[in-house]
Amino acid sequence: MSWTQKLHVTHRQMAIALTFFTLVPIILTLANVPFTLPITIGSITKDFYNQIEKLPPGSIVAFANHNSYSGYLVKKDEYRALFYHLFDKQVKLIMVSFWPDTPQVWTDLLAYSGVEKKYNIRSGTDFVVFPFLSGEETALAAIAADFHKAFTVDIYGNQVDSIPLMANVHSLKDVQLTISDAGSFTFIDMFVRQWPAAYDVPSINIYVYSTVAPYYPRFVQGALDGSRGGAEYEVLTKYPGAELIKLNARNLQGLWVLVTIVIGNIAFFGARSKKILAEGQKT
Amino acid sequence: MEPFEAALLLIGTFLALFGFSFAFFGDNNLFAFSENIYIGGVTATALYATFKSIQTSSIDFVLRGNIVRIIPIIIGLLAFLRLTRYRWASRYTISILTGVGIGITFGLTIKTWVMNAVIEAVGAMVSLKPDPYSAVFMLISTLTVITYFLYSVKYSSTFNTGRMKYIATLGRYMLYASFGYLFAKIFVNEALDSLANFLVTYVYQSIVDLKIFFGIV
Repeated sequence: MSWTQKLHVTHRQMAIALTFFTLVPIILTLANVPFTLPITIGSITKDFYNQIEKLPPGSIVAFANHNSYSGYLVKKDEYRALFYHLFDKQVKLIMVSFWPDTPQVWTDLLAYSGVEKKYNIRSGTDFVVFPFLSGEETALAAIAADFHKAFTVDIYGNQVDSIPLMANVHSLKDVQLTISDAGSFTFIDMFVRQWPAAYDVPSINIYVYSTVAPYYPRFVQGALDGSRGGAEYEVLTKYPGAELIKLNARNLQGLWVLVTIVIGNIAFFGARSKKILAEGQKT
Repeated sequence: MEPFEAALLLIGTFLALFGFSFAFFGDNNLFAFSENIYIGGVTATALYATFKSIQTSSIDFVLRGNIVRIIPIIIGLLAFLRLTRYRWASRYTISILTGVGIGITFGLTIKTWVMNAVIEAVGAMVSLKPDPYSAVFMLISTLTVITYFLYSVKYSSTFNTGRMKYIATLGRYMLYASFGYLFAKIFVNEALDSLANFLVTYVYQSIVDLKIFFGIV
């Protein structure tokens, strides 16, 4: 068997190798061994961070979330860093749900991050969680026009008119910053149309940059681009979490993929030239 | 964390690993078990959440005396007449949904998709931002791609087969580059992400939570 044939890698071997490289940073972190590959902070992540940084205390932030519970699980620590950053700045947060299980995302995140205890904040005065409202774009438009007409109660059953935080918040005109996250690519278009474009309110996004690139920076002024954006943000806010581990794993995987591509190409062209040489000798 | 929650976490981790077994062993009984539980759970949750949504956005308002809100409930229920011989009535649901959808999106779509692209391209060209090369490239790519999509003229026009066909061809290459970037970014990148996401979310996080539960530092 020639060395080029020995280099043949099956799908299963590739899957095992990628799993191994993913497990390396996970095992090292579990064993409390520091492991971080070099990371640079991108401009859109800095924009995202700065949009929150420049908010004065008491600002109202509305977070439109279209993420399912499983979608949230993969960026739990990124959300935690965002919550800490927002409440470090002493803002008031309105959480709106556009996916059936998004209310569970909010309640789980509140418990996981422990912000109520950490910052001594309470539901109704410092944050509000609204239940799921179906309709996507029509729901976005209705909420933006009047929170009080779109909802009767928050997820804890409190009447909207009796919530202190909502006393001075009626429409998006009373909001200083909007945040969006999505479970599908089309939601971002709907969000941009109905919130930042319709009300000229600043907006930042936590999804995939490609979805907001056409609107950047006119309607969207900051973005966290997938796992990489999340990891950069964790570094910027100094609240490290799972996104950093994922980025390290992905960098190792990427290196492995590049190495296999290079070796594969050398083997391919090596085998081809050998074949040409052999055919030349025959003739 | 309560012992019951820790037990659920452990079960959840094993179910996730059963699901992951597909990558190595293909379709198998453990994978099927995990998949069926997931589909059942998601369906139950979605049904409950949808009912709660109807309750909080309509039924609660009607019970508080806002009788007008009964109209959207009736319009929604008309959709079910599709299953009867009065199926014509379900067209009202579809037409109203379509009409409202177009109504709320039309003006803002022009603002965000059409006007924004033109304003950004021209604005960048005037101010030469973020840099002169990017500004010129952005204007050229915007104009050539728009030329490629000139559907208001016949295909055999100047822009498609005539003297200006090179502009549309350049627009097509711009689209190829854009799709190539999107493919690399979304599919290849996400494929690598998904493995790290899975192992960190369902294995690493569970181990961390269990370590805390058992007091292991």
